[in-house]
Parts: sequence; structure tokens; C-alpha cells
Amino acid sequence: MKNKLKTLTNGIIKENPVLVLLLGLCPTLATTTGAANGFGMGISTMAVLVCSNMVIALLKDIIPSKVRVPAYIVVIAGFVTIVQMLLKAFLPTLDAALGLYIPLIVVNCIIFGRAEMFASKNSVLNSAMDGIGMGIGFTLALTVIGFIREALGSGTIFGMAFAGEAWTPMMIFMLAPGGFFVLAIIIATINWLSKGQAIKKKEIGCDGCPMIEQCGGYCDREEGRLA
Amino acid sequence: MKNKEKRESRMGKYAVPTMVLVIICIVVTGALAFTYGITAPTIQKNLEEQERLAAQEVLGGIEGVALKSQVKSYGGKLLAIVGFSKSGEVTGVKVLTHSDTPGLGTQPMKEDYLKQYIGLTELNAEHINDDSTVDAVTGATISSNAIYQAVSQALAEYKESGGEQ
Amino acid sequence: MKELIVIMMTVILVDNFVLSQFLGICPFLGVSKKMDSAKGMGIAVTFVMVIATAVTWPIQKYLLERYDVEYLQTLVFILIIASLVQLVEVTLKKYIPPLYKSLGIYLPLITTNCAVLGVTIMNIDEEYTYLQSLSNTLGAGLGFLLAMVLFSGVRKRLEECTMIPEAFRGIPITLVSASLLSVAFMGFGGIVEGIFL
Repeated sequence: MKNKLKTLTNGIIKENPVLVLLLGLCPTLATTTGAANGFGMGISTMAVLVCSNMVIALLKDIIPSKVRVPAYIVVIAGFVTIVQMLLKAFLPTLDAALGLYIPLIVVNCIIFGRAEMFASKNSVLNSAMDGIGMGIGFTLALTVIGFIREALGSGTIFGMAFAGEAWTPMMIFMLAPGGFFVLAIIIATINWLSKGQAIKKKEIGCDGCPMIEQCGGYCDREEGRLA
Repeated sequence: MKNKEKRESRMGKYAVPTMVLVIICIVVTGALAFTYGITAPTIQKNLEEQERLAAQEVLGGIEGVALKSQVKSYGGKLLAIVGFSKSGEVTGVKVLTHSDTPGLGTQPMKEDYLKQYIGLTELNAEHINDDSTVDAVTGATISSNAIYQAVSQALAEYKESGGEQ
Repeated sequence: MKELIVIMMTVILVDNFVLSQFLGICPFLGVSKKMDSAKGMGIAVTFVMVIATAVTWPIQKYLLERYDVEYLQTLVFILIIASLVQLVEVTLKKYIPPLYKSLGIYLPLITTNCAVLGVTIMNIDEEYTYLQSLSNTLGAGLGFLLAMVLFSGVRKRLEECTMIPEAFRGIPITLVSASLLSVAFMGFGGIVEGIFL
């Protein structure tokens, strides 16, 4: 039981997919224009992550290694499409706000990465825990970033204005540059608070990247990190 | 003997993985078709409800016709809906989707600004700046003009269809 | 023709895939440190994108829409992209080895590049014609290449800079630079219409 709990909390803090592993940055930057949007994206991604982790763990002994990659893609794409349809039907406002990024969940490195690194080698229950943990970590990161950008950029929190006329919001935070900037500050803050311990690798590297077996650690070699 | 073994193992190498993949594809597609069947009617209803609400808003309760009009604006396409009364007057304009700059570019999309289009029956200029009956928002000419074009377009369409629908 | 150019220039400058639309961020931050890798990745991505569009657009129109199975779009598109990448890799390896040597290594990374899937879906969402889709995609790829190359220059300078605070070293300062580059590109808004129309 303790082990399961550890798997769960791993994804929230120690190996937070966005802030530590630096995965899934595209949706992180794109959907955090509001706390609600960030939260919605996080939850949608978590749903896909947990489901695909569980199914892949379930089928791991049946799927031959040769067709591993396409099989994972099909399973993940299947769940993404289901989430897409459910959102369109029951949460159309969120669907419109997240737009293109919902189908893009299928290429979110986190999902494929966890499938390759965890679900294919662990039990269904453990994989579910991992999925939930990573999902919570992702959602947390996105909601916080969304919160900051929304508060600074349009003076609202979850859609409710808080400063009234007293303060003019800084629009730039809602736009592209703001996304990059807020993420930079958050990562820098984590670096500072943990005195460089949290993000051991200061560059985006091969750890946790789903393609590592395909390219043989290219990014690390190319960037001169490995010998 | 050896050949037969070779043939069999080669078959196994390609046939089994392919079969598994195909089965997974079929199962997934089936699940999707199932979910689609369940959600499609709701999705359709949502779309229709959205359109109905937008049309209601621009018509302001009067009987008439609401036409959608798409034009190119500053940051991309702009979709507006324009309401027409039975006598051919504009009853309301609302911008549905756009990619213009939030803040300045969205000034021409505010209700207070769009009010000026109400009651008009003719929009004849090439550009909003050449038409004295409507004003553009200073500093947001492209967005203002886009809306002007959208309303003109809708007006033309309304007239072309004989004013009835 | 003019319209095609406008579409292309808009997506290169105004709606730059990386700097405005946040597509293709992972390779942008991961592979842009050296000019050579930046160029190589940019070209490889553009290449795959264009082929992907050429294939996915007709499939959407003549297969998915005709048989009312548009909900299979995500699944079909990503499978096509993954297969295309494999195909391109194998073909290059066999027929143009020198090209394979310089570009081939980026290819597996392109499958999960959200810019590729993103552009194929975007072409359908924007209801572009076949030619317009290809222009849009070519522009998206070139915009990506442009951002990569510009950024690798910036990063080279950053590397030589000694005054960066400890907490900002590595990713944070890179992201701040990206945000500045993004602001710069915002200046292109509205220009394209003025120049070409």
C-alpha cells in the first residue's frame, strides 16, 4: 500500500511532468489563459492518461513488441477521441476554449512516455496510480499557471473579477509571451526554492521522453550532455 | 523440414503482431462508433441551441431573419451574425468568433459600438472610412472595417434572397 | 495565388506556430541549441508536415466525410503521421543516405511533435482547400524553421553569458528569451494584409 501511495505522489511533486520532467509543454503554454481552462485541460489529459495506462498495462503481455508503438497510439487516440466527444456533448464551452489542443492530447509526451516507461512494465493498479499521480501533477501545474496568467492578464480568478476598477490588468500575460514568461518564473522559483535540487537536469533532455528508445538518446548526445 | 520451420516462424513473426494490431484497431473503432452514437445527438442539439440563442439576441425579440457572415479581419476570420427585421432593417449585430487582438481590436465588438448599425438598410461604401453613417474605432480600423464588411455582406445576402427566408 | 501567399506569410510571421500558437515547443526548446540541429529539425519537420497534409486532406474529404466517420479523424491522422515518419525514414535510409544522415535522426521525434498533427487538423478546421492547406502547412513549417534558427542564435549568446542568476540558468532564461522573441513577432500583426493586398 505504501508503495502505491509513493507511486501516486511521485507524479505530483517529485516527478511533476511539467515542472520537473519538462514534458507536455505545448498544452501547458497554450491552454493556461485561465485557471478554469488549465484545470479543464489537466483533467481531460488525466482522464486519457489513466485510461490508456490501465488498458496498456492490461494488454502488455498480449501486444507483441514489434507493434508496440502503433498499438499504444491506437489506444491513446481512441481515448482522446472519446474525451473529445464527451466534452463536445457535455462541456461545449470548455471544448471551444481548448479547441485544437484536445485532439493534440494524443501527442502529449506525458501519455506516450508513461505508457512506454511505466504501463508496459507494471500492473494495472500501479499504472492507474501512476496515471492519477501524473495527472494530478499536470493539472496542478496547469491550474496554477492558468491562475497566475488570468489574474495578471485579465484581472479575474476563475472568471470572477477581483480588482474592479482599481487595477488595469496586463494583457500581455494572456497572450503568447506571457505564457513563456510565467512558466519561466515558476521554474526559476522552483529552482531557487529547492536550491537546484528539484530540476537536476536544467535542459530538456532524454529522461522521460517517450522517443528515447527510438532515437537512442539523441537529444542528450547532441547537446553534449552524454559522452 | 528446415524450410517448413523457417516458413512457419516467419509467418508467426509477421502474422501475429499484425493480427493483434488489427484486432485492437477494430475494438477501438467499435468503441468510438459506440460513443459517437451516444454523444452525436447531444452535440447536434448544442450547436442548434447556440445558433438559436445568437439569432434571438440579434433579433431582439422581433420577427425576422438572422444571417451569419464571415469575413477576414486583423488576426484571421471573423464570424458575425446580423439580424434583419421584415422591413429590411438591421436589428442587431453580434460577433461570434474572431482572432483579433483582445483589448483594442475587440472594442468594435462591444454592444455599445455595434448599436450604430441598428436601423440601417443600406451600406454602400467600399470601406468603413468612406461611409459617413457609421464610425470606426480609432486605432482599430481593420477590425471595425471587418465588421462593416460583415454587415454589408449579410445585407447583400438578405436583399438577394428577396428579404424573406 | 495572392491568397496562397497571404496564407503562407501569415502563418510564418503573424501566427507563427511556435511563438504564437505554442505548437512544436518540445523540439523548439530541446533541439534549438545548435544552429545545425535547429536547421535540420526545422527542415525535417517541414518536410514531414507537407507530406502529411498532402495525404491527410484527401483522406478527410474523400474517406472520413464521405462515410460520416469524422470522429475517427484524430486516430486516422496520427496513424498516418506515424506511418509516414517510418516510411520517410526507411526511404531516406535506402535511397538518399547522406540526407538520412543529416535529417534522419530527427524523424522519430517528429511523430510526437504537436505541430505536425496540429497543422493537419488546423487545415480541416479552417476549411482550407487542398492548395490552401499546402500553403498553410508550408508556411507553418517555414515559420517553425525560422523560429528554431533565430532561437538557436539567441541561445548561443545565452550560453556565453555569465551574468545569469543561478535560479534562471538553463530552461527559465531560455523561456524568457522565447517570450521576448514572441513579443517581437507580435509586431507583425496586420502587416501581411498591408503588404500583399
